[in-house]
Amino acid sequence: MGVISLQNLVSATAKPAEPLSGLFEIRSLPMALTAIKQSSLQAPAWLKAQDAAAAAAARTVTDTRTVTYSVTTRGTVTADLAEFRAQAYQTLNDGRGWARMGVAFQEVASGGDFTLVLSEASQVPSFSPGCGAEYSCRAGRYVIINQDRWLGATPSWNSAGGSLRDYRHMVVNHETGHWLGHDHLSCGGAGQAAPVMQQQSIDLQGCGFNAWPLASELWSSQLGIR
Amino acid sequence: MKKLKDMLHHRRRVWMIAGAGTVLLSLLFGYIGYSVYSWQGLGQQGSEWQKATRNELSTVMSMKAGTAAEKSAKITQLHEVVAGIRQSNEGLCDISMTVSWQTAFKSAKQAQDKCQKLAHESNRLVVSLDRLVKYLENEASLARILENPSLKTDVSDEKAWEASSKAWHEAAIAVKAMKKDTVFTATQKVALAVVDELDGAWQQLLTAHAAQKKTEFASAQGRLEKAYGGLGTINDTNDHEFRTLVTEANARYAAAL
Repeated sequence: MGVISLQNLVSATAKPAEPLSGLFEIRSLPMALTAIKQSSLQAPAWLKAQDAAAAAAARTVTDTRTVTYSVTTRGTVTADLAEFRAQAYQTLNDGRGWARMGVAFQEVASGGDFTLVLSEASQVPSFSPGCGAEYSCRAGRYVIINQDRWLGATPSWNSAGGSLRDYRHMVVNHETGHWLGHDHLSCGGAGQAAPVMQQQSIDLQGCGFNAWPLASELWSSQLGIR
Repeated sequence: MKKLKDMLHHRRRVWMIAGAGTVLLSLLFGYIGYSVYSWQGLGQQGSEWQKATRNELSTVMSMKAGTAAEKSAKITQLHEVVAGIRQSNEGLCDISMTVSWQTAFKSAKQAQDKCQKLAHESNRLVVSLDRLVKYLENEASLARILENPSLKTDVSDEKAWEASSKAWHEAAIAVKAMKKDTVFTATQKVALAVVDELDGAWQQLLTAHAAQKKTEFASAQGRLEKAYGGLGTINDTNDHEFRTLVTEANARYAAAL
């Protein structure tokens, strides 16, 4: 807004059209109102998680895909194979697991999209030079569960008070996760739940044990799910 | 001898009469001169008052008002100038009782009417300026409340929400506690409604956020966005009210000065 100078009035008799316009510049409220920040609110963390879960659930209802797998063993297997089959199936189709992507896992007699193997520990390296005898592994279409881990989890897991059933959930989800297209992840921050793709048997990095994929892990390059 | 005495006595009487007549005439002319001077002075006094008032207002108007301190100083100065104008306006048309009866004459009546019209117009200007000063003082008080730094920070992230909610709550209390001034009623009423709504919307949002209730959160978010839009209403009302006062004051300035 323009401010009319009244200097000329001192000696002149002519009157300005708006002699009191100089009052406009004294106002401070317009500037105070302009300075107030009105940013759009970002969705809080809990809402993002709820939305992701809802999206996953919607995919389950509208776009369920079936993934088939067969079960086999390698080496001398002393564990209860029927129990292995039943518990692996439960884990894979659990509502807390990869099934949240809208995927149903179905065991078939042979072949299938991948092969779930219960392997004697010493035989695990036979699948790939990248596999060791200590932990479970994934090599190509093979999702290999180390029999020693299946039967006894790991010392760190046990010393932290984790149950064997939860360890079995975790190891099946982790190795299947590799087949789905996931690499290893690190702990997102101290005190948070560990991503299922973190190597929790080796180092928790400050995270808490977690047997199930996080919402952020619900994707699969293998199945084309984003 | 007696004849001579009578003649001298008669001559003295003539001189006395002539002397008295001369004195009376002098007094009459003196009184007439004083009357003319008084009535002319009345008009001149008005012109000088007008000139002085214009100068004082002009000086205030030309003061800088960039910073908050300068704005405040300008309001204070305007306040003092208005008080000065009011004071100098009192007795503007006072005239000696020895000549005041002369309003029975046309020219004296005209001079008195002109002065009284000026006094009336200048009174109206003073009232108008008074209202403007009061409005500006109230506006500055409201601005100080809304200048809380927590209201200026980015609130997009959830970490900033609590501080923002607290700041709006404090603002609502402060606006409610502002003194009531007729000249600022309309703006204050709108400001109170908007700030109160912002306070309520923020509280609703935080409640929904704490309970992690999506529907309630979305509802509060919508209410909050609408409430922020209300800030524009404060601005519009403030602008309208202030412009009305300035327009009125300018008109009275033109009439009085």
